[in-house]
Amino acid sequence: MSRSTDDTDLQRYCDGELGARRARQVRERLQTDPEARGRVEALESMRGMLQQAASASADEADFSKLWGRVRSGIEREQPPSLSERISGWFRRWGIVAATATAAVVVALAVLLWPAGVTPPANNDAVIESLDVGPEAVGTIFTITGPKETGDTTVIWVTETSAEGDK
Amino acid sequence: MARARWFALGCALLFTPGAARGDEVRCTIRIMHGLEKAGVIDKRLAFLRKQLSRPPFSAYKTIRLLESRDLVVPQNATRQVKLPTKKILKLTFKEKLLQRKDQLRLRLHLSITPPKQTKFLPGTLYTIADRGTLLVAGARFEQGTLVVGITCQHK
Repeated sequence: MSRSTDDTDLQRYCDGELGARRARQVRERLQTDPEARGRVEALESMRGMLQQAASASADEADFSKLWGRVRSGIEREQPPSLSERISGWFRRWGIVAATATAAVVVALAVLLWPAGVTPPANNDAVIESLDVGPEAVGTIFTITGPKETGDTTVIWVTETSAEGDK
Repeated sequence: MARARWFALGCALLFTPGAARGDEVRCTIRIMHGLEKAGVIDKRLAFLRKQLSRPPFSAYKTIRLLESRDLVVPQNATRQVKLPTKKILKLTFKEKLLQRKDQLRLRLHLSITPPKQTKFLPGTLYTIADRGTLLVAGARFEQGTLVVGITCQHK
């Protein structure tokens, strides 16, 4: 029997893992082989120390704290409330939403605001001369407006010819 | 002595009457279509809503903005826009005028005629407040009337 096989058998003997026949053979050997007996005693001694150490560690472990950590972990896993979800959404998408809203507002302003020159502060036109073509009659209207825009002048040209436009 | 002559020349250039070198106006020509059928005034014409709701425009329940064209007109230069009626609108910036309290006015010449003809509105000379709008209307167009708004701003 080689040494390694021997050690394995002795280890398994100590652990109670050998079959009945093999265990009897080891016991018979231990009665006649002091070296083997010494190794088994050493193994059992080491096993005893390991069991003591494990027991001591278990005693020192604070299971109440461990349970507290487990419970807090479970609570963290709870689905967030509506307000938490909304605030989370704003934290995540707030900048994107604000940018998109601003873009929409600007686009609407561009679309709806009269294009070109800024709307007048005051119309206040004075017609110095008016030349109307043949077969047309020109009339100057003044639309009285609010103080901000003043009066607005309209040149109305009525075509007396039959052709007109379209 | 030479330096004095250069100084005098500079002053002369600086204070020459009508020294509006580089003077120009930026104008927007708004082409509108008035219809008697029920409708609304185009939202882009909100700044003219009150005027367009009163005579002689009160008959038009619908006023659409067909087109808006921007022009830059240098002093004594003429720019033109073709209207949907095929008439040509020509606008000339004559000069700027300063009123009391530094209020700015613009003198402009406007004509709206068929190409190479003198019909309709061969010319009108007018002054108007800076950014003021003059309305010219009356041309028949597609069951309605064409209304043109000319708004100019000194640059």
